[in-house]
Amino acid sequence: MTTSLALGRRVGLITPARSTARSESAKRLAEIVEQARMHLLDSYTVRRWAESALQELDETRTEASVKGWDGYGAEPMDPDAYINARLFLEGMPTTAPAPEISADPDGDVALDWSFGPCKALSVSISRTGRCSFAWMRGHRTYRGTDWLDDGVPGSIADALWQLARETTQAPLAR
Amino acid sequence: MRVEGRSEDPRELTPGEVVARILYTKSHFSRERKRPKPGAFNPSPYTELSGIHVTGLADPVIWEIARNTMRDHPGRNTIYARADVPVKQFLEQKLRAVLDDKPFKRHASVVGWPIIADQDQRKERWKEICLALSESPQVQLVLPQTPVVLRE
Repeated sequence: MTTSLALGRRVGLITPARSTARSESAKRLAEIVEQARMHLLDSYTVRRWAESALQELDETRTEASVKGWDGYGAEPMDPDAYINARLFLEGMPTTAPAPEISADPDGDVALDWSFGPCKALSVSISRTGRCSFAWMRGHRTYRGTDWLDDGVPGSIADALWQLARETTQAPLAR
Repeated sequence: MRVEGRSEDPRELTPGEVVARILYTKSHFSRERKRPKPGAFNPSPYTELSGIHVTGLADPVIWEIARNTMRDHPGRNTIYARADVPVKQFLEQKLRAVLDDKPFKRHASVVGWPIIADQDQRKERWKEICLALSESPQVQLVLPQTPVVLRE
């Protein structure tokens, strides 16, 4: 039950566990999960992925810190959008591909994944936790809005999973 | 009376013409993939996207026009890249490119961005358009040998 709920919320393995359970077995389980999380964070690959993404986010925030940073009158990156983007990245499954990070001219943070020609996903995270996204597979495009709650929104995780899975099955040269 | 260097009337560009979007930030393109990112085409906070009409121009001439758009303030003092977009790609997204020569000769505005009252819907729709432009194989990212910096 606990496992299925965690998967359903699509939280990442490096996200600190949040639980209100008070039983001894629940406490023990939480300890084991935390040990696994710390072990995972110690692993070179996961640490590199997470640190690299968060570092890119910080660099983007620095670049987008003044009004007009894009040369066309863009708003600075919103501090709350930055915090929400961190939560999003920390909540991503450790097996997910790393996004490219940029800033939108309206103050949102943008995360982009590209899986080859016309296979891509773009998500914009706002100060309120609104996640506007669009993705394409060949000539078809899709779009939607979801909300950052306890981890990556399911609709976005689904799109990402689908694109990543198809690319793994049929790698495309770019 | 005609003002030197300016057209009298705006002209709508045809599908075979090309508009360059100048990128003053490293954040809006991927050097690794050599592609513009969707954010490069987001016109916010306006409803028109600025570009340069570059049809038929040699590369050094395009960079020289771009250089003249630079200003001595953060955000406009370095050019990192440009994205060359055939007008056909804008038309496929139901946008139009208009050569208006304002505020400088060869300035073009990409207009027709859908105005949707609901901000969430507008954001996702614009995102869809920007993603399609950034992924179009006909859209080319062009990098200068070194970033173009403002002359002293």
